[in-house]
Amino acid sequence: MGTFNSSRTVPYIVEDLAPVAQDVMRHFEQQDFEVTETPIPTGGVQVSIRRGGTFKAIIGLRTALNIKIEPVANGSSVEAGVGIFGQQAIPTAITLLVFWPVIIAQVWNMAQEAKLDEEALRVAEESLKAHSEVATGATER
Amino acid sequence: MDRPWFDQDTGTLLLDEYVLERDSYRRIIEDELITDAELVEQTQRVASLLQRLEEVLSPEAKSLATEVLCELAVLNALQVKRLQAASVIPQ
Repeated sequence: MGTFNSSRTVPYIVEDLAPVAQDVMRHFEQQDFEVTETPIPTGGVQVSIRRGGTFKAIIGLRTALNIKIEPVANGSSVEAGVGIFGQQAIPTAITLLVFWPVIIAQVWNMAQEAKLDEEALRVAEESLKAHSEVATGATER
Repeated sequence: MDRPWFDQDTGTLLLDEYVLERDSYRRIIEDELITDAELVEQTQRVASLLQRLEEVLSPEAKSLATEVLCELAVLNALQVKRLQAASVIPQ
């Protein structure tokens, strides 16, 4: 776990992460979050979620909880952290601002208090597990 | 901490000297290591101080303080950009 992100690596290998991203998006959409999906060059996918009141707008861009799901050796990595809605990288213009560290900490605190990061990791892990079982035909005992 | 911001004789800014005296700054300099906890603690300290400042300032003083803080942020951005251009810090 980093300063402003939560992550975990799970032992589930899923070739096509699109259905996993769909599961995560559906989960938060049902709670009135706005959601979007962004592909990651590593073959992974990023889901952004935001809802008014929790995530702040800076220079016309909205902060969001970005959930990155990526394939790693022997499994998948899931990471939830504060970023910009629908963007993989935070624009330089924002990171140059002296108050950005304060803003990112405040938004992260709000996300953590609502346990959004834990929820995102849990939902992604459950979906990865389900889709890896579908792919391998494995069943839980 | 009622101390002058500028040297009365030379007109030079004294705030850097006050920064050097602060425990929050000394801790970073001593071990040259910035831990996650230190970063979180400092962001919380700054947010808390800004909230207190906003509460006590008159509308006129608040307007001036807003201008100062914004222009300081611009100056900091300029400095970071220059350091990036000189490859002192990664882009």
